[in-house]
Amino acid sequence: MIRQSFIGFGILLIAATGTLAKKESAVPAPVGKQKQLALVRVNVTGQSYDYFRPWQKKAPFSKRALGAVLSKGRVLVTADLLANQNFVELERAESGEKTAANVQVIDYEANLALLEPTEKKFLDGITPLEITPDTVVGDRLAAWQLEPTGALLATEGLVTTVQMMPYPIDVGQFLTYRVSIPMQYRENSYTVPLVKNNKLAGLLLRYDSRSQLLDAIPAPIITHFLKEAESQKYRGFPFAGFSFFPTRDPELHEYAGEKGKNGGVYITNVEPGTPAMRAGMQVGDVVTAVGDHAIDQNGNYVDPLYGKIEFTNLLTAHAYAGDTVPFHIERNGKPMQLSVTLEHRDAKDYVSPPYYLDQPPRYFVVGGLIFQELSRQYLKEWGLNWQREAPQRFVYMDHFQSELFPDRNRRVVILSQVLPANSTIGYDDLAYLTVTKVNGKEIKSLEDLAEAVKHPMEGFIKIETEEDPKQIELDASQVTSEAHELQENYGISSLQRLQ
Amino acid sequence: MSVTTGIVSRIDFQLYTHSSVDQHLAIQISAQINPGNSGGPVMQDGKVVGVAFQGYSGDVAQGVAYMIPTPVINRFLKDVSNGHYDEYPDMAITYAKLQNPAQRRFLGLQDDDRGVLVSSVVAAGPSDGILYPGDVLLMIDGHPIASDANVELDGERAQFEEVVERKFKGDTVKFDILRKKQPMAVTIPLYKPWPYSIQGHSYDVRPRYVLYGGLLFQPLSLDMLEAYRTSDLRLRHFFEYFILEQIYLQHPDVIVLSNILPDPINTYLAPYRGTIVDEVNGKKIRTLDELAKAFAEAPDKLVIRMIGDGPPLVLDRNKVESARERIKTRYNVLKEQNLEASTELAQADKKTK
Repeated sequence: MIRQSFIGFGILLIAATGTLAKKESAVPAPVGKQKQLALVRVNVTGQSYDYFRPWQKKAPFSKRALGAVLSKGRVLVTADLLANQNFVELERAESGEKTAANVQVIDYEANLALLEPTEKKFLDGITPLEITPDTVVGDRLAAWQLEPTGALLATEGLVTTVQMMPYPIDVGQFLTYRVSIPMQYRENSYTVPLVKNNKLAGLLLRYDSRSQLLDAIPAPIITHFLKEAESQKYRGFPFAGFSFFPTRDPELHEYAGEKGKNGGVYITNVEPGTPAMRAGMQVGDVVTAVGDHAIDQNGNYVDPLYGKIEFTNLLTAHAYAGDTVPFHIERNGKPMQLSVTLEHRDAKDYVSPPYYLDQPPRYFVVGGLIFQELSRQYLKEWGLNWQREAPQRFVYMDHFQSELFPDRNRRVVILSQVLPANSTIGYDDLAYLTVTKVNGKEIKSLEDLAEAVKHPMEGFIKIETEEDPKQIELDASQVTSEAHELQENYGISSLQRLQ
Repeated sequence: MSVTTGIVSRIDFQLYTHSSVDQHLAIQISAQINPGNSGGPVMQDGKVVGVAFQGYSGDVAQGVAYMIPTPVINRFLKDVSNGHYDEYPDMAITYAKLQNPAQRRFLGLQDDDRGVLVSSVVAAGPSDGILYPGDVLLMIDGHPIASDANVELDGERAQFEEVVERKFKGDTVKFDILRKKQPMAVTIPLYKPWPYSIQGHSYDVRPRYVLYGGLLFQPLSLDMLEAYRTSDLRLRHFFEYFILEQIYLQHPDVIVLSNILPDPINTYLAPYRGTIVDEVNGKKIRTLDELAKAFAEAPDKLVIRMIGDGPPLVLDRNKVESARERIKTRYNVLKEQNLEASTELAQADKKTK
């Protein structure tokens, strides 16, 4: 094992020195100029919500990171860093001077956020970083970190790939730089700026120390975020609502009505109520071009900067929510044009929201039965391996939600666990059930449930579930009379949170 | 010969891991048994009282061995006495214990610790149309059922299914039930419902398959899932909920494109691997036989739709035909399909419909 990593390191060193000689270094000028560094330390304390005890928070955490100082007194960090934060503080690297900071804009999907110091003059004397959008494969980028002394620690790496990849929140794909770089660990390695010729080229997204590969949020995504952040209301990255498949297979290509020429992607699904559906896109259409960019049989267009890259980049990095993008399609071999007006899809517009941060989870407790709404945030409570560890039925529902709930306009209410109490004798083993009806009323949200519980059937609250035991009954008056005791016993501040 | 001794620690229902789907009576003994001992007789006073058959590996539990007890052995001997093994009949229901006071009152029950609640009734099973979800089972063949699902049989407490366990195909079982608070009696003629068979290991049965254009189609089963070690969420769900979500009504065979024998005609089809066949040229495919027939009668183009949002799989019959001998030779394929035992399924399926 050790031997292997030595070999890897050796090869990398040779490669690095080899190209260093030819190319201009990305590392900035001598350390003496470090006062000019457009970096501040960012200290964050926060508390995540406990989805297993949704009325309370988990133990506080603290994270230390770096922020890139941009123009107009703004500090750029990753959104990851700020999830569920209670307090954010900025710290000048060279003087240790501190101030509180506010979150101006945050986008968990693109993993970017802007901070502003509460004290306006805090960033005085720092020359803000400009952004360089023209990084290409073969460029060398420097990762900027800080030593405990405040001195700069710069590591250089090579951009090996520019491609579309999922970001940590896993909503769509975004442009990503992959950089081969031997980074060192520093306690504030959380948000690390990548710099080319003293200009910001990207922000660290993730780093794998074994392969020494770093994925970075690239400047075009950062620029997009900043431009959107300057508008009145931040909307987020655009979304169209279709799925596609390459037409490499000549049989599929021909089946779609295409003769002779290659190219285009086959539309496999158009979600109801999305921009693509409104524009009239249909399953079986072949998208041959978006705007002026022809799409090849693998779904790539030729980007002036990167060469071939997946065409979804045209819809995320290049377009904004509200933009109308012309799609050139062929339907049964006949060319047509569709105008797709893109929009952002909020996390709350999913049946099982992909993330739910900075706000407490919703729940409803009835006589010891805890009801919650299915979300990926809830499933992630099972840890990094949640896709294997969490209740598989829920993972399936989350994964195939667009197929299972095409009308979307609902939540999945689950009976997540049972607190032993007088009213739940015999129910102690129940957990992870999907609620279909309460007192005969269909349940599509916790609000539905809260309302249905108010109307017992002959003194009983009847809960029906998709899974066995299919039905559970509680004594309505017992639930009311023992509510206070339940709260006391389990330290539940409130038996419901619906806000 | 080697001998070991032990005491009987407990008698109850256990999963029989050989099939990994059957639960029958088993006796736990403290004798040390090891791999290779299975089938060895367990003796008491010079007579056989059971057959050693399973245990735990040493890192789970030590000194825990199981033997098949005489009721199970006698039942087997009686079943095969006519030269044919009919296997175990099953009521094909799920039930819940009735121990919550409010739930008992809701269902109109006394405070007497009796009765279990029927949660679901499998449509392909013998109780379909006789028992309904929400029924309360109070007595089985005259034995009162306790709220923890136990009955007293020959002075021993056992789960009430044990009454059915001792019966044979064609026998009946009688329940006293409470339906919508009204007492009733129902009789169920017993047989073995077929949908359970995919969830257990099969032995002495050649796998069923259809190979067409280098594409291997196989019905979903425990043996198939284990062979491919798939972590595919959809396949696992279809397997797990085959009975509970009544998937077998639409798909008596869940036909999976399990493997591809590479050939120029299927170069681009790798992404379809692991998907489930839904229709061929607009016709729903329910069984492997139907798929084989659809292939045999294929027009020039075959459009296979898979379950889910994916693209259709399109095949050109002439190209498939011209590749046939090439694929057979290259991969040493002796038979392009095996549909044995499909007839049994087809009959069972007809009954379901």
